[in-house]
Amino acid sequence: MLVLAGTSLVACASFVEIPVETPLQSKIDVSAFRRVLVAGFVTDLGEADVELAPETTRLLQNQLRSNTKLQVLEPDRPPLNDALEKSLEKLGEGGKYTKQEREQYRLDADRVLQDGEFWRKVGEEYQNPLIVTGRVGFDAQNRSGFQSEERVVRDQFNRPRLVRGNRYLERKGFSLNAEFYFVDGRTGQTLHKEKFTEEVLYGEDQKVSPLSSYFELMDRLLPNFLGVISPQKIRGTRVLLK
Amino acid sequence: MLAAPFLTLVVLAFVPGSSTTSDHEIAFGIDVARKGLWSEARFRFEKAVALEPNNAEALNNLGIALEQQGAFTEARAAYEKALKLKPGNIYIQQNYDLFREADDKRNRKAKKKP
Repeated sequence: MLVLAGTSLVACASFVEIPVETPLQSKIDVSAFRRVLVAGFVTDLGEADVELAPETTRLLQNQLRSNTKLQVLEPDRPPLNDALEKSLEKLGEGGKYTKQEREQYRLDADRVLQDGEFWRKVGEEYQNPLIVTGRVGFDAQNRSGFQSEERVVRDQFNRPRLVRGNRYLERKGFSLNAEFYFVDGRTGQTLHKEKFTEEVLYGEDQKVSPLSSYFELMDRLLPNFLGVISPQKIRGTRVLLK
Repeated sequence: MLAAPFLTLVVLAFVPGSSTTSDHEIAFGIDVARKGLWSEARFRFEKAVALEPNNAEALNNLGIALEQQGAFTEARAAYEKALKLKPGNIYIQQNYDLFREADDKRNRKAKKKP
């Protein structure tokens, strides 16, 4: 009887929930490239909690290696560093920079990022790869402050009562801003550029190092970065009907 | 005592080619879709629709198979026809809403293309 009841239930269920993966095309066609070069990143001048440029370069190299068919080139020194060093030579004293100097560096760096001739030469040197470069920023955020909250308190007769009030909440975290350039190493032309912003906040009892936070934020951003050059899947569920 | 013949009937219903009704094609299509064999599932749902063009369930399932295979225009048409036939069906409506959500995402991406 149990077998019959069980079988009847299966037979009677009129729907089946099923996982689906629908394809999402890449933003740029990279089929013409066999190699990819992560050419380094522009970061703000001054002391930083995380060595952003090398960490980002290394992380993206690893991701590109495991998620694309492109051969990932690994130069001893990212080509962008050499170009930026020239403008750095003129700036700073003892590792300290004025506001004007920071602005000057920012303008110089933007010029390099948009210099088609520079990227064409880099491309020539590395046998016409797809070049990934850009700008990365990672900043501490403090959103501490009073926040309204509701809580249940009990009066002298043990009756619950809803009380509204404000409580000081310490919420600190980090934000990551990245602008990635995808450059055609054959022509030096920018094929695509895109900005990404991610932020994470932690409660007062959470002690998270800047480096861990950086990886947490990069982890969120990576699917969108990879979606520029490789097809992605949108996962979901649908209901098949009997 | 009744269990054995009943089970046999259920099993027979899932054998492809044992019948040509749309219900059998749908049942087999679902069976193979659950195994991830979406090309075969699509073929079965298409066959079910050919046998019974106004079968909303078959059209809904075909929509899913088409969506899974990246045939988005055809998937939309299948879902819309299924909904037209059964406007109050929450499952078809839910599938169609999720399809449109994913489709919007795709279209936003496509528009950003240089």
